[in-house]
Amino acid sequence: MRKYLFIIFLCVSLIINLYSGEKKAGFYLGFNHLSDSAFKDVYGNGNLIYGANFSYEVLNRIDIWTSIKYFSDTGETTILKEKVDFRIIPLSIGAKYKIEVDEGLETYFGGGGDLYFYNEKGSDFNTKDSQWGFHLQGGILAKISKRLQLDFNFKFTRVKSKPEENVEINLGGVEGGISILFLF
Amino acid sequence: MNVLKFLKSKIVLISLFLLLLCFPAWSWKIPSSISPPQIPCQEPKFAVDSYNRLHVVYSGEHSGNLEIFYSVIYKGKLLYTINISSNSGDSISSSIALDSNDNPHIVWVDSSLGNKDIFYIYYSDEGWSFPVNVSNNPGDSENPKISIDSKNNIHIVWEDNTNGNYQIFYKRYSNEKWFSIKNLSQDITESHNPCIAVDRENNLHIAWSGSVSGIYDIYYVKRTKGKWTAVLNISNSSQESINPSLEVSNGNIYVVWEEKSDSNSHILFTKYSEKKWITPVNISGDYTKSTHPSIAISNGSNVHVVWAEDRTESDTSEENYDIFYRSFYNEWLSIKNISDNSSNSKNPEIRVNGENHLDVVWEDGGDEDSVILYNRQTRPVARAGSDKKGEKGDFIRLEGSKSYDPDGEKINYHWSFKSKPEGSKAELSDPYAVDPSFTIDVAGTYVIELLVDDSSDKSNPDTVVIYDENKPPVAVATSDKTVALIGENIKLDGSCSYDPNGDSLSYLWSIKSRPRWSTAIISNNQSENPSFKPDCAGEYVLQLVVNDGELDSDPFELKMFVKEYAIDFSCSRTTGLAPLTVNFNAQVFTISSHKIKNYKWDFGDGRTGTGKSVSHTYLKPGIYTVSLTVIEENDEEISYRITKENLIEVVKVFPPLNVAVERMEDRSFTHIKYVNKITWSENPENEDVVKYRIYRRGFNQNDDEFVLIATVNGNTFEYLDKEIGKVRGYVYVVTSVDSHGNESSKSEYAIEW
Repeated sequence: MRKYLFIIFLCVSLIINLYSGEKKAGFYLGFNHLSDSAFKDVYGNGNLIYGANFSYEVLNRIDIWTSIKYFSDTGETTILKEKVDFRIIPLSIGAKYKIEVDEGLETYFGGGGDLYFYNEKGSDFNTKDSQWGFHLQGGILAKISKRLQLDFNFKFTRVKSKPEENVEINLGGVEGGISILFLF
Repeated sequence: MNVLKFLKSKIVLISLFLLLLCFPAWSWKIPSSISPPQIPCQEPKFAVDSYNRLHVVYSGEHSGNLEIFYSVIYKGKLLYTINISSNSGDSISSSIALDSNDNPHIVWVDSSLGNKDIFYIYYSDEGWSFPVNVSNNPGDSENPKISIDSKNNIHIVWEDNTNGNYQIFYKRYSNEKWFSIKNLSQDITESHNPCIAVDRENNLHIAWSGSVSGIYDIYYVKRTKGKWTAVLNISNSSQESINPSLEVSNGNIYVVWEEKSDSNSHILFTKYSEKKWITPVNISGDYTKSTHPSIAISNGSNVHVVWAEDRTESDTSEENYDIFYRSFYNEWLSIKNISDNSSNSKNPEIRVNGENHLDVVWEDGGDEDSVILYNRQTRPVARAGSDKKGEKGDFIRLEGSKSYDPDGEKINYHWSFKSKPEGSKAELSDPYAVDPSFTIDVAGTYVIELLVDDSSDKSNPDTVVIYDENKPPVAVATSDKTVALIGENIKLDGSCSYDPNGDSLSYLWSIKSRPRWSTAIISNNQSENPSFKPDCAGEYVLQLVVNDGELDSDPFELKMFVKEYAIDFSCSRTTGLAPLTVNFNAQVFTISSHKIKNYKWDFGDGRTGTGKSVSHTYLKPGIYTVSLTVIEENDEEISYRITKENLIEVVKVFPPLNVAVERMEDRSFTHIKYVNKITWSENPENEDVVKYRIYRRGFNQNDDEFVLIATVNGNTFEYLDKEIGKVRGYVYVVTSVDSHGNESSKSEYAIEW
């Protein structure tokens, strides 16, 4: 139930976003490093993550933002070396506080909540589940024209899940990337 | 107020007095020799049975080579000694454990097959078993230790260099079969001197001295519900830690060992209690030549340790090791020298017997004149007399006169009521007399306790019960033999019979059943200790009934088997590649005056032989039953025969060695799949193995339900079983197959999870 409330809240945020003051929408490309050692044993250090994000200013210097991303990787099981595929679709919402450093240059920090949909498929199993988590983030916003802005973003996420008895995982980790934002 | 002041001022004295009451200052006797004269003896190990008899094994020189001797000692006296190895190779480093029937099970190192192997033998109602080669591998197997759990499963550990370096191997006998060998010290470079103990829940505890980076530490591992824990370093010292001894009691684990640096060596002690190991403590004090500790735990979790120590001061003087003892009762008490002689005393072992007394044996003297010495720590014994019948108004006299002090010292008596019927005001006439009295004033049961002391040692309590009804006596019969030869004198003993009311008993022995032609009688059949001479071979059932003057006991039956001749034979080996040559040697025990005329052998492959010692070569693979017929020199030809079923196995190919199974987790990020990794090693006696076959069955299935799960080529020594069902465990076997398709017997390993 909470999962659906979160998605409704996300949609409402997007609609408000469309009708509020300064709005930003953009595309994101980054690298997602999952911190769980079990992930490293099977998939290595991580892979590219991409997606879209939207934000708008609700108060002076405070933005509310939402994002949807996609992450996938391919690996081998630890003993039998069988091929396995793993995907995450993270939905996130949060707030960030901006500090002007120079004209057209801002730094920010903030935090929020996440809902991770994940799926892992092997030769004889198919795990599908979703889990709540939270994140902290920081970054730099650099205006490159009147309508374009670059967002250099760094994010730490923690999302604990228990897909099976005796199996406890952390889907979160450290993520860094860049967004190109259109202001309208 | 004044009373409080007085108590405060005297608190130290009162505490000392209480300490004296709490700490029994048990006394040690003068050591006595228990090994046969004229045989130099070494490395004694022993176990104590439920009658407090000592079963001692040791190696001794006999006819030029070392043999394993087994002696039974009762009340400090040597009852008998036998040579149990009796072969052409040197036999050393024995260890012994007793099963729930007090039968001895013995292991030792035997060199009769060329390399050093671990041999195992046991005694049962049918006599001594045939020795089994437990290690049966090409390496040297040394320092075995044996332990038996409450289900009479046999557990053996030893050090073995089959894989190049010395490792700790473990093997068990359970459900009437031997399980395959498990290597317990795979990640440790060199491992020596294992010791083993079983706790009340049948968990196994094993410790040994091992080296990973050049320094020896004490390692510990536990087997609980079929699973092994991770190997743990419990000494963790920068000095060399060697020669561990381990004991378990009430869930606690106690370990002592020798810590060595250059010319110094001390005895260290640690304990696992309340889920943690305590920091090791030095218990041998400032002396610097302490070695070979042994540990035992008595009631109340009191710790007793013995070790050998040389206290000669000058480096130039000749060494003189003595046996030292130290105990822990809430704190470590002072160290005592319990051998205290001028000869070298070494290799002590300590055990607690059923009366909570301590027994210690050790090797004493030089290489050529060493004997096995024995010492016992004793306390006076309280005997409050037999339970009695008594009615209201009866005058009851108690009898403490059967109490005694093993050292013959004068004893003091302390009688007290433990319980009496409600409303009774009965008092003892003199609680400190040998035989106080009282009058029953209320009908019911009176329980009176007696404690005795010899001014330094206090006894365990004994109680006497005064009933208001007569109870039937209980007959208990024993004999000095349960298997005997015709004409042999068998001593019967009814002295363990008793009457709950303490009435004196009369005895009646009879023969309930006997072989058809027997006319044997029990001489003096109304005495407590009659004797019996069987006159025919077969089974006899003797019966004892006791009477307290009013009531008969239930009959107590005593079964015995009588043989005319006891014949046996040994063979040089029981398995090998074809053609296999085996030497057989007949052994005949009899008290008959007739001589043996001939020995006839049936080797089971259609061929026969004659003579006391013969050699035979088996040409074809197969399992052969061997029979020996002994013919007596008499007017009529009388023969005696012994057959050993499936004794010789001649194979074309041997099974692989060291089969082991490890349960592993095949992990993806969100899912765990369990797989079993089966490993084995090549048997160096095989010449052309082209493949190995792996079979599997469930824990609850029979041996004929093994299913072939894989075949791998002859250069592969592991297999991953991916198809694990939801079961309790599996039994795996691996076989070798040669280029002609001949398949070996099965080398087995069981895993439970």
